[in-house]
Amino acid sequence: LNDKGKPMTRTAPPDLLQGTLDMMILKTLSTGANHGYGIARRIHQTSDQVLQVEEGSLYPALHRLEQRGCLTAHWERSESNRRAKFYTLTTRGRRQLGRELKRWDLLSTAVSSVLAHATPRKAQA
Amino acid sequence: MNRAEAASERREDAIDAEIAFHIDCLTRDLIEQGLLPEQARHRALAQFGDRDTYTRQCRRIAQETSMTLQRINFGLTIALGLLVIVLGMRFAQVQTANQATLQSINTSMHEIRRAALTASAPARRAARPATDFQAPSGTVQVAGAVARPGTYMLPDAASLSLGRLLAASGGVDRFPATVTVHRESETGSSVAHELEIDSLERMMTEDIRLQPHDVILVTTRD
Repeated sequence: LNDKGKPMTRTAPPDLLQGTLDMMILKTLSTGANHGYGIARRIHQTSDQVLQVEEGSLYPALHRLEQRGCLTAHWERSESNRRAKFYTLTTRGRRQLGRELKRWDLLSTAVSSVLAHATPRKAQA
Repeated sequence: MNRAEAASERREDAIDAEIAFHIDCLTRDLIEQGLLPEQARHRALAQFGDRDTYTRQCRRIAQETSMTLQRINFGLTIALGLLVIVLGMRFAQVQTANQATLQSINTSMHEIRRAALTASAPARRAARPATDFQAPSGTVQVAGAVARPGTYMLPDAASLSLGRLLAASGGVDRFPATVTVHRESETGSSVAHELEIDSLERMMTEDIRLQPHDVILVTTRD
């Protein structure tokens, strides 16, 4: 069963676009501090379970963002009363998120434009 | 185990704990969704991906961070050391320059003092009165019929007149009075000026310039 209680299918969900993981982590943390598992769950839920990331890949990305100063981390008790590493967005991370979102807007607009113009030609062919 | 190794071990333990927390939470959630514990654990591990690979990647990033911090620390230490050396050298230079300046000032002052003493010695010897009494240099004596007879300093010999001196000594007791100015010369004391004063106004308007070692005698008729 998935998060919505529906049966899990064997079909693989769309791969996460390369380079968008950092942006999604930063965007998720812009609403408040969270641990790695919480971030994975939130990405999964907010994408309506479409985006299925191999959850372990979050951790190298989180550590690299922390190394670059986009995130800070501290250990504290989680909701299950276990010690967990919580990440917080820094000012630098917020600026980085702004840049990533602009780049994403440009990219998605460009891709949409290409697809919109490509469709009639395909129909003609 | 040295400090670097201990810190490295702590970083690795933290990474292991972080990943273990994730897999445990995921397993718990899958159990709550209806899977058996063994199935849930299996599914959680699969959903997490290659645990060893991600652990290694995280450790490498942590190591890079540590090395970067060590390089920054090393660089800052070197920069600070260089700054201390440069400031120390600069301070030594300034101190040497100050000492040289002070030495130069002391030498100049010593030369000026010696030149002044050499220049004033003959004049003092020549101006010495023939009497036993020797008045201090730069002073004049007032005696006779004045309110405060005695020795008066000449603050500025060029500007001190007889009238001002008589006023400073309290004024002449009675008018008319005879004022005699005795002045030292190469041959001894002699009368330089003698004048009759018949009023206070006349006394103040007398513009005889006094010189060091002058002796002023004031006498009245009675």
